[in-house]
Amino acid sequence: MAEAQKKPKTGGSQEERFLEAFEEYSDPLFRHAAMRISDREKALDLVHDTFTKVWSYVRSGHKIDSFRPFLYKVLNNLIIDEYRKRKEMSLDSLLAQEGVNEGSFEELVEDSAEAIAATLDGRHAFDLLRFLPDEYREVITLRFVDGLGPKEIGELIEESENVVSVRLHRALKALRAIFDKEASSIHRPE
Amino acid sequence: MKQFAQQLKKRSESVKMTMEERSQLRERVLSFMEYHPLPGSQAVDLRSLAVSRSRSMQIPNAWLWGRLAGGFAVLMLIVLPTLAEDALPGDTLYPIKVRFNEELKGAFNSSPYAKIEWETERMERRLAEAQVLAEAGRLTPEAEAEVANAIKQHSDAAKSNIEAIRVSDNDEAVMAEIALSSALEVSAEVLTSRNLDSASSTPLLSGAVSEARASLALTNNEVSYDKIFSRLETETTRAHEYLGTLGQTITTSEKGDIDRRLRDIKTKTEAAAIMKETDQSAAVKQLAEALGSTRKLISFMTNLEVRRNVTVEELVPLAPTEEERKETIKTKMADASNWVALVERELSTMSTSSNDYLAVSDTVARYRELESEATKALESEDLEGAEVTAGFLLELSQALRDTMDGLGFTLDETGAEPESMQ
Repeated sequence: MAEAQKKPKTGGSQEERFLEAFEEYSDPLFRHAAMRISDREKALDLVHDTFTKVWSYVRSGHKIDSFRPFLYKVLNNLIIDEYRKRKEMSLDSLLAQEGVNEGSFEELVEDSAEAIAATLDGRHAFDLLRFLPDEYREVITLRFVDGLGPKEIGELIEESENVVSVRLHRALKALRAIFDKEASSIHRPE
Repeated sequence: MKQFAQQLKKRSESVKMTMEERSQLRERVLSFMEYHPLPGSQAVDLRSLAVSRSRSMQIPNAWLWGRLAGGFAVLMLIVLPTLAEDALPGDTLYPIKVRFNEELKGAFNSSPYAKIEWETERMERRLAEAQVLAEAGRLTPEAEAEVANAIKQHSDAAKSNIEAIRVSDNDEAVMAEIALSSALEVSAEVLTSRNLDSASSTPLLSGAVSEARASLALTNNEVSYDKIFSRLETETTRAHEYLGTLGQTITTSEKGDIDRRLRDIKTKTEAAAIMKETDQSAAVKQLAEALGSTRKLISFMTNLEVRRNVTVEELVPLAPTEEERKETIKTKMADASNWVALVERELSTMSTSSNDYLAVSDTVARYRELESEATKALESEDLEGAEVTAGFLLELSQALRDTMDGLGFTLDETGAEPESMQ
């Protein structure tokens, strides 16, 4: 069966390199967009817009060494824009308001993110992601699905690495809270 | 964190574009590029660049035909078969893949074991092809039925080859059965995992695999210990080699999981060597299990579809080490003991002549007896016995708690409820 394509990094025209980037990243970018905004059509549009924007950037004379972080950044900004557009209409805005104001490192000492993640079922978490505000969905998807490290995420969303770690931690805590809420509504008290 | 990440990532892999969506997207981006070309660039044929980069299954280039017009035989014997290798059911080149390439390969198999391995591999290929189609949303019911039929055919072929060699070489037959059984189990795991996502569920395929497994009667009491031992050595060496060469293909945590299980298998092998002195058939059984696990691990390492759908743990569940078992037993006993201590404290406030007191204190006495049994079992390394008794202890302590609760006593909890109570 076809294995992951080898990427010839040397040479190639700009068109070629761009098209290679399309083949390589369109799937993960789509996955990321669809998990953030849960609207397939829109996700496809956003991925399309990402590539066309990046192409325009290349066209205007800029040289891109590594497409990956660049593509992710453009896509992320587009997603955030999309979210802002929807904010008035959605319930998420209420959730988002309850504060993604950043906590402190002390929070991380009690109850580390590792410990929380160890109690969560990743498969189930996938289903519950849509209940999280987008700021939390953003870091969880970037970290666990796209595989970016906290530093890379920081560069992408323009926050410090500390802020990313704390946000991840709070996101996992929020997931945990949703789990527990779900569980307690299923089990009747004795 | 790693398991959470693994599970979330795996689930998320179900979110993907269909082939159609993908090619539409490509079209849109290409059009944009054509309307906004790079300044000063020569007219580049973007379409052929894009096509050669994408995973199109058709014969891509007209020039290929032109160049080989003279060497038609070359085309038929070398080029087409090579191009056919990636073909899926429904593609033009698929019949070449199945009827020509695979049959040709099959003709070169020498040993019966190789023939059976080949039929097994063909069966796995059919399954993998079906999965690729299913994910792309292209698996029609007819195609699924065809693949289910192919599964039956290949596994039947493997089985009749097995029977054929059983006459002259029972050991080979048994080991081939183990190989076939492992392959079917792996396929069943992959299908089960995929069928959780109802959009890509393939009931016909699951049915075909279950049937194939059911009719495989494993009789391995009469295998020669030495033969199975040496086959196991060969396979574990292969597994280690694969592990060494995989590089980026599998994650570090998967490598760790596989490594851990290979060490487990080594331990089991050594244990079997000792067991052989007293109970040869049990030793053989243990080696047979180890052989099955090894083949499953190899399957994991060499098969992308398997890796994408199951974890190492699901495929080869880990048997806890002795140390781990002892730890679990001790934890259970400690938890139970803590609760019973609290019970005893409240007990001492009760009137010693009341029926309640007598009932509870009798139970506590029974608890103490069991406790010392468990301790003795632990000391004499009877882990199974200790595990069973520790289980009773936990249940008893729970019952005592409930009783005291019912009598109106609140047991003073000093900490969170111990995990082993859940």
